[in-house]
Amino acid sequence: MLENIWLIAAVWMGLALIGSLVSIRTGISVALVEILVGIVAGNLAVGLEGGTLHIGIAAPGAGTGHLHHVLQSTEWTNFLALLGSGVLTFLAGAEIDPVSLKANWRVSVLIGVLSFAVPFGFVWFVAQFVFSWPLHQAQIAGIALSTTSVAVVYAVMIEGGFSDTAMGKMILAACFITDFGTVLALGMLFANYNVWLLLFVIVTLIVLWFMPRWTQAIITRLGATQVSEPEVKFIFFVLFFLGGLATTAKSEAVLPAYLLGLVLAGVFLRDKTLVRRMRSIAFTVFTPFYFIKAGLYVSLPALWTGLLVISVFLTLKIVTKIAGVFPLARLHYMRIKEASYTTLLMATGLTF
Amino acid sequence: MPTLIAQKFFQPTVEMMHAWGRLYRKRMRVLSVEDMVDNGELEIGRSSR
Repeated sequence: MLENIWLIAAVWMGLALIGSLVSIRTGISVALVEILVGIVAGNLAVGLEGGTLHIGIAAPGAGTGHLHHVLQSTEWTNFLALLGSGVLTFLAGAEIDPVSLKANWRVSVLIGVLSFAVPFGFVWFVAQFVFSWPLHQAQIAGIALSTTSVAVVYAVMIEGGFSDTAMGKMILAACFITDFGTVLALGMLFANYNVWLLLFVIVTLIVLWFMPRWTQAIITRLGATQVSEPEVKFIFFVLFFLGGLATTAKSEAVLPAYLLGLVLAGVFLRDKTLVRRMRSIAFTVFTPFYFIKAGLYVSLPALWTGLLVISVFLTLKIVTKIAGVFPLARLHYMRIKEASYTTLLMATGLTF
Repeated sequence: MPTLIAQKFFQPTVEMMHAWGRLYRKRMRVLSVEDMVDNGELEIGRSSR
């Protein structure tokens, strides 16, 4: 079982299928359901002893005695999860066409910046001066709780059919700005700058500048109906290349992925088939691995023992997100329901 | 958790989201692709540049 790739894949896909069915039944986003499925399956351990089936709860990665974890993380599942986050973030960027970005940039930037800055500053302050945490740990707490998730919010938008609305695009752009803030803060506080970072920035800027022309040229010359899908392969090639460069520079691979999507949004606007194909590939093969793996990070025993601290920090996160986002949303003509929705989506927490 | 609460209790309809976009662009005096009518023309009178 441990080395049987097919059986491991079957378990992951079976869980993804359960996630889809529950999501359709309950109306909850498949991203959230898959994370929940990952939490449950990741903490579940089973085993046969003396002809009796034993079921127990054990943190992912922890020793379980004679029991075995139902869900296993391998190098290739991690790779698929990595692709899931990259492709999903790319598609999120591709939803925001340049004209909509221009129309909504003010509200997106304001909400995005404050959604990062208020929780970051406040949680850092509380962790350092109220809980007496060391400086770096307090800073990490601030960064961790200031995030939102482009990937989860994008999944929510797509499933609800909101990605074509101005509000959906505004929220997605604001999510990116918030997450960009966390990446910047991580870089400024903890990263070591090297020549790779400079090279990454220069190459990314050049590629982003030419990418719409290159992609359009491939579509025009080869047509968008080739079975071998050269345009999709070209986009994946650039996505992986920039991701590799970002990782070497100790930055985040999803950062160029989003920017790539953003510059290609105009091309995608003209060719909706391309984005639908990529979305189908992503949601079927890649993203279940990403979201279920995210659930694997949650240890139920650790959650139970740290319930009080986790509750305090979750409350802090939501309160600071409300303080930062809700008034701005109201100022930008949203009604209470829409402003609450925007605020809570900005309080989504997952890596990018 | 927050996303779940947002989806279950505060989810606006697609129409409400479009309506916010129209209101925002009208107040900010900008146009967007959402102002396109079916034939690809810009809808005049809804908002102005």
